[in-house]
Amino acid sequence: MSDLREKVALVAKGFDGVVADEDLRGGIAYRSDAASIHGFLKALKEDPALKFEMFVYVTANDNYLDEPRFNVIYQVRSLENNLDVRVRVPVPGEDPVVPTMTDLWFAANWMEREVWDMFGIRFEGHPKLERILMWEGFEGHPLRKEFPLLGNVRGTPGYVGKGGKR
Amino acid sequence: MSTTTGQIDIVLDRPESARGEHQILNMGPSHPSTHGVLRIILELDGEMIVKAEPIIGYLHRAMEKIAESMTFHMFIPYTDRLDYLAPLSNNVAVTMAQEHLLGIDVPDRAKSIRVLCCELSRISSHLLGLGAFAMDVGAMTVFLWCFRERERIYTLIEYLTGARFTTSYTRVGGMASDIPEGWIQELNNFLADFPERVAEFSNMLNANRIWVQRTKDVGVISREMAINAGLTGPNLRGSGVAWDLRRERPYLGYEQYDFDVIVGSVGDSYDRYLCRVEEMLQSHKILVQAVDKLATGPIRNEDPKISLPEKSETLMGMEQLIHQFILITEGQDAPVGESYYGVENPKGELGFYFRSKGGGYPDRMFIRSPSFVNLAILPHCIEGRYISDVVAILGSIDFVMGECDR
Repeated sequence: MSDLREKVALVAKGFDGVVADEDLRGGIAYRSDAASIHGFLKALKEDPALKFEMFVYVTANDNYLDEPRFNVIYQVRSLENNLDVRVRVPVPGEDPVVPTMTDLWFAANWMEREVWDMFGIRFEGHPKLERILMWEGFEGHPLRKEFPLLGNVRGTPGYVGKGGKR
Repeated sequence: MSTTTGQIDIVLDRPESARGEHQILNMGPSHPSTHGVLRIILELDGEMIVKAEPIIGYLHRAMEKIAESMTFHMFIPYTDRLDYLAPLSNNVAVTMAQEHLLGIDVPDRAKSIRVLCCELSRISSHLLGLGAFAMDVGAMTVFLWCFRERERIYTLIEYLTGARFTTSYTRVGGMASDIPEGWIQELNNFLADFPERVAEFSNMLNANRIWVQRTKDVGVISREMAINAGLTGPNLRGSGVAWDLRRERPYLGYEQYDFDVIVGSVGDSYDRYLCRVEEMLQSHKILVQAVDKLATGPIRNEDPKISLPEKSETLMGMEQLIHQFILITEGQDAPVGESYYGVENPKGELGFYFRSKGGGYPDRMFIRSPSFVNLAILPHCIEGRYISDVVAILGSIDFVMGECDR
């Protein structure tokens, strides 16, 4: 386990933008910038000893009113070594964009679409970056912190506008 | 489309004169064989599927957004509605992730009860998956037989938790209540003849010519593709990858139980079906051992800042009343940071990512749902196949839209 950690650290050393991060329960975590993330995950996937061949998830979180506003979070897994690595990528609130992982993992396709749908973070190079859980034409990105918790949304079936107009 | 194996090329390589006009067919969202509200837009050349596009989100209830404005306990009932065919194991999964975030342990008896819960719901989920799959392909009897067995499990669950579907049986640090008197006897009655019942319907299907023709070499997912697409659960194991979180990262004391990880060889619908049937028998094996090893002792962590006191004590004791009040109104004080914890659910790895800024509410909760990830592979499986194969593949992937759309 510990020498696998060192191997991951060695891979991370090859990238200027990648530094160690903290996991609450002792998991392996890194922080990367948007420019290095694709190369870093690719190196992890293609390293013959590590073989991080499974893409567990990509998601994001929102530091509303702080900068950098969003964090995109990736988790990849090596089945052979039974090891997970989580990488956090801070992106700015103004035009948030990260490179797509769809060229490396098939699994990234729908999950990146979900992050786009929910947070409005663009994945550069994604073959079909469209909404997935919400419908086309929906306004806003629901998991952003400023998205209202109450009220009607225009276009929903039960929508009642001002003066009872649908 | 380039990822599809061979079959798609057959369609495209046919001479111009043999190619028909492409037709768009809408399947779902309320179609009996789409297992909920899945909609697929199929582009057809005659009976052959050239392109398939699943449309999801019809059951989206914004669970992740909801979780941001409630305490950990308040979210547990929502997980009943995630994979609504195995509510007990969702309860266990979310509570384990919350305990991982809080950094607490649960007593042995709670662990044993959780193992019973997980394996019972695994059997019930696989029974429904198998029954619905068989009915989609035309075997009505299997569906009825599966439901008969499932009903017995639901009776057991009702006896245990007081509810059939909306169980909400776990609490942070342990369980809501102990096993009621006489329940173990009922469970043993169920376990006594369950393997015979499984043998009944696997005898109906294993060598059934129609079944084999409809499922063998249909919807093949290669080993590489299964890993690359992030599949988990029986779908991954059906493709020959021996990955089971119960074995690889034992939780709840799974390392003490003797069971096999079932793997397929080809990765077709038939292999996935066999994996599920065998997994039911393995779950039965675990249940028998778990009843034997059932630990005694408390069912909840004794830390009053983490787990709820006994209800009867809150009405009598001042301390307990205060703790109950604080835990219900403010919740457990979580440390600042991030954590992820995944467990092996019937459908695959159900994981929860938490980001906490301290206090009783998570700042962000993400549900890594196995159905969502598994369903993404659907176009890869059905493009280049005939339209009648769609139901055979949908059934074998065994997803639940409640979990997929969250």
